[in-house]
Amino acid sequence: MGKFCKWKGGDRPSHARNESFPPECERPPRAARDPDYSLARRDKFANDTRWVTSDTERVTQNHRRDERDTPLSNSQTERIRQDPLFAQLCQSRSRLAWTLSALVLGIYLAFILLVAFGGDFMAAPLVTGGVTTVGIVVGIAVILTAILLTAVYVWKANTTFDDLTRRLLERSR
Amino acid sequence: MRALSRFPGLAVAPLALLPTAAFAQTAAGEPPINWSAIVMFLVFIAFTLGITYWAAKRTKSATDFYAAGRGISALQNGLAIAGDYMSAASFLGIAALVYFNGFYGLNYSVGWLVGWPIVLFLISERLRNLGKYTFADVAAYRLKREPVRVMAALSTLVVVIFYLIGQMVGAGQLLHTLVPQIQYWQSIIIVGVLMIIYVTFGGMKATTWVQIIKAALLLGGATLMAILVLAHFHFSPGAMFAEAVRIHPSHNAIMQSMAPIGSKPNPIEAISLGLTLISAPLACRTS
Repeated sequence: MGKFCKWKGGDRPSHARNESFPPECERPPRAARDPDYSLARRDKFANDTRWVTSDTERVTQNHRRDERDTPLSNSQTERIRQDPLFAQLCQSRSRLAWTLSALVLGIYLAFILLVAFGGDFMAAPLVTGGVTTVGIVVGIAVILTAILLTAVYVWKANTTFDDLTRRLLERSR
Repeated sequence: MRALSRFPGLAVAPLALLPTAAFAQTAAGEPPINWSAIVMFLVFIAFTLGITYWAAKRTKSATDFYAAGRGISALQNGLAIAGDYMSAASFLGIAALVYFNGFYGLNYSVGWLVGWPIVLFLISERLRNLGKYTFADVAAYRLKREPVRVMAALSTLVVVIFYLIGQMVGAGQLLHTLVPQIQYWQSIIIVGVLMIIYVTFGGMKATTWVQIIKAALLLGGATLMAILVLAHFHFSPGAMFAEAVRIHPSHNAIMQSMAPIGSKPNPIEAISLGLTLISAPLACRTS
């Protein structure tokens, strides 16, 4: 991308390493760089009425799409940091993460303590005369709970947290 | 480090394909050459090296090499991590532990599994948000660069050496057992060279794809075996356990063992083992 990304007046000085590029030096949108990509986009969204119709706007949209991969500028980061939504996102995400971790750890700790001190209980058959012990069932239950709690986190991350992140990014532009 | 932690299991993957081959060996004198094992091994090696070649041609930048160009989807990466997880330890070590010690062996499965959700809840998202390649990069980003990098390199090497010793012994022994004509030291060299080729030429893309294939094979094979075994007992786990207790030399002890069979249960040992097991994925997967 050298051709598009020269710092004004020669090489980029080291103190400006975290600065964003001046607008004329921005990486061109992928649609402009890659004609195949642009065509594929056009086909994909040709029938979507929500999608912008004019070609220039389409390129702008593609550019926005690319922006997800480019780092945010300092002013954008600052705007996001001051957004109440950002605080909400951080708070709810860390609350969920710590709650679920505490749950998993607690359940596992109980399992260890049962193995350590409740040997008789764990070794008892589930039904009198049977061979399957309580321990086997408890062990499998711990595994299934861990999988279930992972599913809870993934579901929340894919719905609530991703939604909040998207809204935050849109507002910061 | 993820690339490093990802590859050791690779070498064992082809051998997991050979559930019947282990029984093909006859007891009488010189064992016959196990052609089915050799052919399957070579086919798998050719196939995975093909993937490595394909990935190497497409690897052009650091992001390509370390993070597969950030083009791996969540499902693909999940399968690849599952492939990591189901290494020699899972399908040789734990199987043997459960066979010899019954319920005590199950503790290992529980402990290792439970560490994963915690990595997901507390570490993975922060790590991803920083957009770095390795744990050392993340630590160096926040802290003083040089000492952190030295420490990370040292601890990574220590972890990898101990991890690799187990994996290499497992892989080398397995290849030697299946094809007795290959000496143990030769099989370790074969496996080691293959691992180095996979990672250095293919980078993250090749390792990830080989792991995905391995995970799919193992998951598919294990599921098929579980269904067939259960079908044999008309889908009654109780009947299966009863039969296992009947034919196992330790009989009922396999269902009741809180410690290795033959040793006296000790609460402190049990707690210590439990904490070790849950720390392992926490420590290993963040590096």
